[in-house]
Amino acid sequence: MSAWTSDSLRDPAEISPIVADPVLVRKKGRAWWLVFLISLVWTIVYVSAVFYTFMTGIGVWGNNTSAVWGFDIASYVWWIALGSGGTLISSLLGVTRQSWRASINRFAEAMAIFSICIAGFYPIVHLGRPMYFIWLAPYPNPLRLWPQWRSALVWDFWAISAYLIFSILFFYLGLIPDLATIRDRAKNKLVAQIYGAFALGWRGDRTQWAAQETLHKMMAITAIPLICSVHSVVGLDFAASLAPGWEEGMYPPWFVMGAVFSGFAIIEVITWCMRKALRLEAIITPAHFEVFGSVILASSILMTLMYAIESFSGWYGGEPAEIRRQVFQVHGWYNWLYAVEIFCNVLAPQILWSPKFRRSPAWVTAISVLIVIGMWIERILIILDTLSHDYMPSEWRLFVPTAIDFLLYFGSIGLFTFLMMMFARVTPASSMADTRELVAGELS
Amino acid sequence: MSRAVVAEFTHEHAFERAVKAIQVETNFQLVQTFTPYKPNDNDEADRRVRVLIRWSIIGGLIGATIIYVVQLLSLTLSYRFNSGGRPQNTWQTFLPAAFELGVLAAAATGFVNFLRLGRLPHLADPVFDVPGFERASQDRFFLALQPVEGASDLAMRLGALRTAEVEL
Repeated sequence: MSAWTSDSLRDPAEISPIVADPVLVRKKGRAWWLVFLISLVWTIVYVSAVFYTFMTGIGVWGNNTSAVWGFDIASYVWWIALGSGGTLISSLLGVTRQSWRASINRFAEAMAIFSICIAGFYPIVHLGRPMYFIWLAPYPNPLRLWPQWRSALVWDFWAISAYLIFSILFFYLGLIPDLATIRDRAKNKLVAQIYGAFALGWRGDRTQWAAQETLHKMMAITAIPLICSVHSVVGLDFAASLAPGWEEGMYPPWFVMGAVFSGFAIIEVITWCMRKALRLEAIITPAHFEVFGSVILASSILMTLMYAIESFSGWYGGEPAEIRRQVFQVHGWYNWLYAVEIFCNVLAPQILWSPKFRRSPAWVTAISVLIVIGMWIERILIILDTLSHDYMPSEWRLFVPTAIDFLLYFGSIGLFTFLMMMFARVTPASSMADTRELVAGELS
Repeated sequence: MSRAVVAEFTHEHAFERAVKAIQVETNFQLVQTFTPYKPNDNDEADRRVRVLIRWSIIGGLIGATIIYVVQLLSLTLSYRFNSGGRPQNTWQTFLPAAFELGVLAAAATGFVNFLRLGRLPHLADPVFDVPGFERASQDRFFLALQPVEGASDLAMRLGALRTAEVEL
């Protein structure tokens, strides 16, 4: 057997009970209920914070100052970046035929969908008049108004919408054969009918498998430029402006690289949680974590290069406002956050050079958690270092987040956790069809 | 619709040997196979579904063209406004939305064709009445062959666990 599955697996037939039992058979334990209740509470907090913001106005946030973007846009960029990790696991690793993705791509894709939904809601919440977000779309109206097609914010609308619908189709396409397995294993007739309806009557015949695989490969290939374009457009939200520190050509590739970095980190954390919670040790092995460690280390080096390029081009360009911003980043009000960011994104991942740490799921997970935190701080600093220290000294003001800022942010994490818990209970968390094929190939 | 014999195999190797033997056997035709994961030798089906890629490309190009034209017409005809004397036809700014919608349209077209080629949804297929067919999505391998006379004997000789006759 290879490193990607446990030596105890002797037959592809063993995959079905490992993955299907958490959905159909296994009772929810105390730990599940505890995490479920905590995430439900935070989801209610999130909804309440959104309602309070809608009823009162975005003045309840800390951005009632020259820092007009704060937690809202930082979190939006952060969530989109996390989501890209899920899509990249399925698409990039699928196109490069990395068989180790078979057991993790399902929850990676689900995570992508939830992240995109949460991210996409932020631009709506952050509007002073959120009911007018529909103006981003070209619908017939008596004012004869059209969207501003030349704005990166309108490109965002198309990018995020396309990415979300694409991700749902991609996820569902891979899920259909596994829904058929759940349909056929269910003892309860109603459960079998519900899963059977969503399985569309999948029979597993030659044409169905050929069509499913062909479409999956095609979508995987197109998903890679899609992710690159979505994150480039998110980067252009900043780069298409004239603000010091934002008006840089490297923003699109930097954001794409950041998406790869934080996306892989969050997938690693979720893999660790899923493996423990759903007892998937037979199909998610320490080899998976070692590969994650290697990818995260390589991404960290590239991110360090990006930071260095940003500093160099700022200095080389000689623009006074840009140089002032760079000095502010290191010596200004938020320099302590910058130190945390450098520690989390640049320094901490270097221990993964050591095979001892790279082969330890606990260490790789701990580093991944630091990276996820560090990348959120990076997004916040991208926004605050520029908006708090713009061209005009009269505009130099400190950003102080309010309680609503924090409740909305942590509430969104609670909502995400809640959605992942629900997903793990009603959907097979790993791809049974792909993993069976992997095991069959290893045994033959 | 015609009658066929559906045979169940417990192991992939026996199933693959049976498929090869039936394809060589001149008196019988392999109508269909049903497997819990993609079969190894699926070249003929792969060739048949390649039309899916063609339709996806066409769908993607149509989607991208539509949104490109909408942007072009809205900015050059319907809602012209002077923005610092800049040209109206800023085609570079039309490309992001066109690309995104093109990819989405290609995916959606592909998905519709996937449903069409796989004959989905089809909740009440007669093959579901074959005893034990619920294991086709888990750990058993099924094949259907015609004509029914003598097919059952052939399948059992080739290592089938059991057979059943069904209208496919």
